[in-house]
Amino acid sequence: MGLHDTLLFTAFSTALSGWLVAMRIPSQKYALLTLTAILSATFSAFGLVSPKPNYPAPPILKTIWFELHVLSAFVSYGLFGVSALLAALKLWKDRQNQDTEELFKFQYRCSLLGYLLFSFSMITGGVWAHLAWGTYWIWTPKELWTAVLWLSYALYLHLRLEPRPFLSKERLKTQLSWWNIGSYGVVLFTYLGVGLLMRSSHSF
Amino acid sequence: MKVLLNVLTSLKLANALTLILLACLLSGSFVMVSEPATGSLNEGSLFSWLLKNDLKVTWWLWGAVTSSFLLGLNVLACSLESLLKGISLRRITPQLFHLGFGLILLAHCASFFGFKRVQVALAPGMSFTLPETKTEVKLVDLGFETSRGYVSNYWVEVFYDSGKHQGKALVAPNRPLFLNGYGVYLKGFVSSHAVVLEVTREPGVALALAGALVFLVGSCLLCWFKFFRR
Repeated sequence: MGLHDTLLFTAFSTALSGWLVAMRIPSQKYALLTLTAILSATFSAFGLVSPKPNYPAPPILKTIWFELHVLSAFVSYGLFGVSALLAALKLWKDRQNQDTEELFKFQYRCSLLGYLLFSFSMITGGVWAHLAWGTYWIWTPKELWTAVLWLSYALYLHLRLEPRPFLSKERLKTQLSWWNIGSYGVVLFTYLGVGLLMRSSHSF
Repeated sequence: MKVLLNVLTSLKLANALTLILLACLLSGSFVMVSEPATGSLNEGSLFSWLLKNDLKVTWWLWGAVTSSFLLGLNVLACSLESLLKGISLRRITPQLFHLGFGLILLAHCASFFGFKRVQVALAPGMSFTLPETKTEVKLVDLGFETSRGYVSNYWVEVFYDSGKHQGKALVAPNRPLFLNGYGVYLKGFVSSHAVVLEVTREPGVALALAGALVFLVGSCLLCWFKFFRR
């Protein structure tokens, strides 16, 4: 399993998540579908030009825990991507003084669901690591960025609950939307940047 | 005292500590790439690694440990305060997340001091003793399969004797042998006649698993409240 497979799966999970959310927001359906199509197509394009691995999976990868770990991680990446698109759409619509309440609501829900799935991915990854390597956590750049990603979305979910008497609700939602987009940057670096630029247990 | 309690239970403190922890781990990833001393991070307990290496290599991990500890206290205080206000399924749900997180922090604490890892190279007929025990593990046989020129599967057969219990076991990728608090893992082949076995002691694994299960229960409940129940 390499970039070719994972990029194409990320494209699929982004497209599916985007389509499912777009059906729930009729007023923003076409805008969201367009943005989702662009993001999904970008992943697909890079996936198609990436070399396809031409060797069988090593024995260490032949376990249900690996499959659950990878599947949940990439489905969560799709949800995080759609959440970031909703955040970007909200910020754009805010400039046009349009009602963005629904966009923010679905942005939060996508992030929450993505976070829960990503947590599941970390748990199954820990189980697999214990069976494969003798420890549920190893200290490599990939694991550190995984923790950074998890904390980033945990912070997003908690920041909206923090009482801020001097900040209006709209201003808070704007700040959270920017944090959401930044967190998706963390997702992209965790998935692609670490694997390509840093040597770790998940190098491509 | 009341001021201290208010600070300890504040969400602002939780968010600030989370941000600090995030920054420490992020910095640590770049330190790991640039400092060769970080290569030995996974060879033994974190505590011994922190004491052995310079602050310029370890500062980010000291920061992460300190902020995690404070975050753990904050989470505990917040959860107790919330539960004292009243108990309902809706109120308990976020506390399950906190409990899971707390258990995983405790797991890391146990591993921080007690993690051990040793490697042994063996040929069939050779044996070794698990550290700090009288349990002997002897390599009986080894084997592997190939497909399209690649190794598709490999395993070893071992005989173990702890004095009280004896037996044979097959050790393969993702199928370790657990004995007396240690895990015996097949790391790989040195040649077609010798293998490397890795013996690890991971004291935090039970706490980590308990934390993960509690977290999962909390996740299911939260999904129920947020997405299905009106």
